[in-house]
Amino acid sequence: MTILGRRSVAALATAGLVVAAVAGCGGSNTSKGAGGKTLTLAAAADAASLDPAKTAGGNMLAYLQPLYDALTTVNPDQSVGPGLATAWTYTDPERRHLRMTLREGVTFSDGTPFDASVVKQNLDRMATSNGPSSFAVATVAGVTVTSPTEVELALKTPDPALLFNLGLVAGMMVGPKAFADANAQPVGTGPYILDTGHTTRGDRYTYTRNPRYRTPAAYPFDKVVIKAIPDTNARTTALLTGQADAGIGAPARMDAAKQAGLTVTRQPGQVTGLWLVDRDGKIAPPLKDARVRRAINHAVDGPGILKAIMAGVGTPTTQMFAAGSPAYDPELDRRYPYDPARAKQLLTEAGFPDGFKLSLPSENAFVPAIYPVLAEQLNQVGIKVEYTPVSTNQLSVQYFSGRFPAFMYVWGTTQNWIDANALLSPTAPTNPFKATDPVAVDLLARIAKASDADQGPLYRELNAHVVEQAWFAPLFRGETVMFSAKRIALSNKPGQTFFSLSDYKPAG
Amino acid sequence: MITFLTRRLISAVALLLVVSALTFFLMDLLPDPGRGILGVSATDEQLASKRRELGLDRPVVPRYLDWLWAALRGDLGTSWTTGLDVADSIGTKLPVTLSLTLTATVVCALFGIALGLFAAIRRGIVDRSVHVLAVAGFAIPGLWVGILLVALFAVRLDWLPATGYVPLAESPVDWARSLVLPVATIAVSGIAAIAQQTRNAVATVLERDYVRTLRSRGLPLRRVLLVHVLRNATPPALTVVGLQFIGLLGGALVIEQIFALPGLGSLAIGATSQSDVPTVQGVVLVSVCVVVSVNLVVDLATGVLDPKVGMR
Repeated sequence: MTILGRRSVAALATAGLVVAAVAGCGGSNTSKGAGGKTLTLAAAADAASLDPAKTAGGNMLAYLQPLYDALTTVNPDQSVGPGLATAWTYTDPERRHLRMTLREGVTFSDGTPFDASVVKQNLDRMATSNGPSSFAVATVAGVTVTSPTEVELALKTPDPALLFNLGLVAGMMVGPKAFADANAQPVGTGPYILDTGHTTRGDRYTYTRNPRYRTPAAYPFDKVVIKAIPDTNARTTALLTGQADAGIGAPARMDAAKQAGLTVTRQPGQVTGLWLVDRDGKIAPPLKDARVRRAINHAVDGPGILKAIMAGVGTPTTQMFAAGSPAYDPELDRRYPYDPARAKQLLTEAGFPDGFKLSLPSENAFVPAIYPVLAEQLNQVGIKVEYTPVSTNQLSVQYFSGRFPAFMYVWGTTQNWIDANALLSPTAPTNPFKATDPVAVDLLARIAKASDADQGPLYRELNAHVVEQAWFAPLFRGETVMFSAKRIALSNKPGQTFFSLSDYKPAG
Repeated sequence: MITFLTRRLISAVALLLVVSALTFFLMDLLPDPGRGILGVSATDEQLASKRRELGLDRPVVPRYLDWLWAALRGDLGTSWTTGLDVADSIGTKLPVTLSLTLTATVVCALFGIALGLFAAIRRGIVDRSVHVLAVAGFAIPGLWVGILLVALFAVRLDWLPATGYVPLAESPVDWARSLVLPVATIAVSGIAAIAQQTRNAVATVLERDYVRTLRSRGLPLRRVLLVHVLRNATPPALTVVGLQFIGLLGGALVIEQIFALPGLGSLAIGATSQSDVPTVQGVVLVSVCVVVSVNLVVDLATGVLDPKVGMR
């Protein structure tokens, strides 16, 4: 959720969150044959604030990455590499003290040198700003400057997502002199600076080279323009007509894009599925029984729905963690084949031979076409669905308020710890009934203190447990479809779920 | 005249108060804006602190009065999501929406009145054709027309930009080009409405005794039309044009999305979905002001054209 943030709902509607997000997506402005030195991106959402302390991740990242470097860098496979911090180590076995060594010789675009005290000021500011990314540093109890190039972070609890989060908005370093007005006059150490004269908030953002940037060669474009085009059709048309060089397009128009000479890049996206959140059976008692939840998994035909409704753009799945991440286990995807007879049998064993009534919300913005199919498939095994239509305004808020025992949701998977906490922790706002079990709690506690190498097997154990307990009924992992002009070469590694600005190069 | 203006002004102020209060209280019924701003991962403490920061821990009535008092002094506050000054944001978006709606209204009025006149004078096959066209214009959804126009003129022929807006000050030619497709999309139904209204009004006037008398005294048709008929037929048409413009303000919401125009509609959609109360209030306030002004202008113009309409 984290990387998703506030606009996630909008992003969900249109495309892969994370992808959309980080990638931000964009294109090149006046593009048509504009000499290749301008990159114009079409973004799926407008920037909120250009001040990291007031901004979420997700779609917002694209607007911030040109301006700011973060302490770490999130790699395409979601592992973490050096950023403004070149090295780090936990100094205690409990992993509650993190020492970070900082890059030397870095200056902000206003000439202020970057050092340890700047890091402390930024992290303190992020923690107290009460912005959309503040939660990401909530585990940080304090920051100590131990030398001009070294800081130590004391943590309230071990946090396996911290280094990941410090590679996103929460770890972006703002020039201290610009704190008061970073939204209008942003100052960072990033490759570009904001060209305020050619920026219209809510419409287009223009970035020009930061003359003080240390390795300009990594960013071949002299100018980057990001156009905010939230409407998927409008964005797709802008891409088709060369008004932007790259951006997330409408999957239905992939063929048109190829015909128009665009490059289509598909990336794994969000997981669409039913969240069986009332697993203690507080308002829907049958859901308390794991056999009922497994029956629901067998009763819905994920591959069929994917093919019928999403034109097959995606992969059927039964698990909530990102493909290719440490927690992911391809074997698990075979756990619940579509099998209504098996579902009926499980329901009978659980004491519901005649099924039961299940109250679910429905909406008309994100996956409207799924609801009738879902109801029909569940009805086949005896589960009678009663839909309550809900407004798409702040949909997540309504879903996570505990009003519904289950709901269809589109989840942007991210780093394993972030997902594990959001989905399974009894304290997570995204776990409305605070339902969990001792196995999950124990595994979460062990992962928190485990070394990076030891975390993988534990994550897989946790994932297997969740799938076996059928706390979710995932249908498929969608795909984000990126349209880009031939003049742009887009690096795309297998499993990459988002694009960073440095992934865009001129072709040839 | 002065009484008329005073009365209109008082009713305008009342309207502004009612609409702004209604919006404010309705927005208050929405789920926690803090959740919308901070996202689903925010903790309860963060939410509580955000509520305090936004002043949401206070009752809604004093909050509304504070907003009203500030608005009266010209301070529309700061957006809860972007941190930008609401008045500034509206200042950059309003020209886009006005460019779109005013141009569309002028185009609709010109073509609509011309077609309506033509139909009323010629009657017969011309009249029936215009009638059929008008019905078709009503029936065809504007959205669909927009998508077709984009597919043809932007994607296939590459004559016009598919999306985006260029400020008039930057390049008048590009400004006009950026408006052609959105205006054409709106104009389809707008022209139909005005053409029908004009045709009926003119036809009615043409059948009046005084017109027949004027014609029988040898006045040329052109003079009768311009001086007498139009003058009497314009008020109803003008009312429709005014209504049309007000309708367009609402319709701009959709059109701005389709053509990625950064206008008030886009601002309103974004702000509403994020429960950004100060921005929504600002947009509502400005929209009501625009609507009230347009109505006033239409009434004044009607009064000037038709002395029978007393400005009391």
